[in-house]
Amino acid sequence: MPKKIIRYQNKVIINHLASHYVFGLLSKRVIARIDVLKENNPQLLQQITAWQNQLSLFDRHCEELAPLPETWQKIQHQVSNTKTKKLLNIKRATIIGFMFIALYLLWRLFSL
Amino acid sequence: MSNIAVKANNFDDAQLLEQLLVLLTLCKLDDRKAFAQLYQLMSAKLNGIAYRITRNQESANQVLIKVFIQLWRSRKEFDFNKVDPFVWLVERVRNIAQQQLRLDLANKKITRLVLNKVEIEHLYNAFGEFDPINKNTNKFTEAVAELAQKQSQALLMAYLYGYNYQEIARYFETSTTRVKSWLRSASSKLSSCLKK
Repeated sequence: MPKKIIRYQNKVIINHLASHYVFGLLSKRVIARIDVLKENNPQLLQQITAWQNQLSLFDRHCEELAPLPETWQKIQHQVSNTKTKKLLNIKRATIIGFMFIALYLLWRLFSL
Repeated sequence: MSNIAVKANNFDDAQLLEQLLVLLTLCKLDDRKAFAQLYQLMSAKLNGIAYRITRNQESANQVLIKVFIQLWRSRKEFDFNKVDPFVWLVERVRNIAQQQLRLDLANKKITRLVLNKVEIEHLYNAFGEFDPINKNTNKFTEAVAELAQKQSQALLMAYLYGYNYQEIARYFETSTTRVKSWLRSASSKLSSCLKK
């Protein structure tokens, strides 16, 4: 097994990475690296989850703060936009598809 | 959306978990009403967490918008057999809020992280305020209480308010190397008490 992989089987390193990942103290680059690593390293993922579960107690008791009234409208708008964009893309793809078929048929017709 | 807002604080942990599981499962089935109910249930709580980190109402709302849009777009990927949905939501809010905080600091939207000495002192006792849910939680809170004061304060400054090494070091008027050493030591002491 390559050296790099063995390094991430070490319990001390796993705990250090997992805890600091959850504390929010790692650089963007290291976070991205861990996001990839944890997909293939069950021990790392388990340790991250354990830290998250334990520290989330603080968040359970965090004071609530009502968001601005327009926040929901903005979310709804964005979510609907995604749907509309998807529909538009499907329509566009269908039209282009039909155009290709028509061109192909015309080509076949004239080549006869 | 209905005017009767059912907020997360109205439920105990088990009820909230149950509610979240139902709503997220319905979201997975493209149920937009469930998505709206999920917003009603969690928006104030998640906004509170985002505000705690960004310390700006407008930025906190931006975070909330991003989280809910991300949530809707990735709804098909929900798998809560292994992960607590509350923890899953909070992690997303914390990640985006920390990015927003760094952006706001870079754009000078906020000039510095405002947290006074009294607030920091309170952090030290914060763990004692929670009702122990089970033996593991007890062990964890006890272990935090046994940490050196600066270690637990540094940990909570990072986790709760998004402070980085340099900012913690500045607060304690010490080097970043020392802060790193406090947090490394804290993480190693607490790791034996984690609930797996």
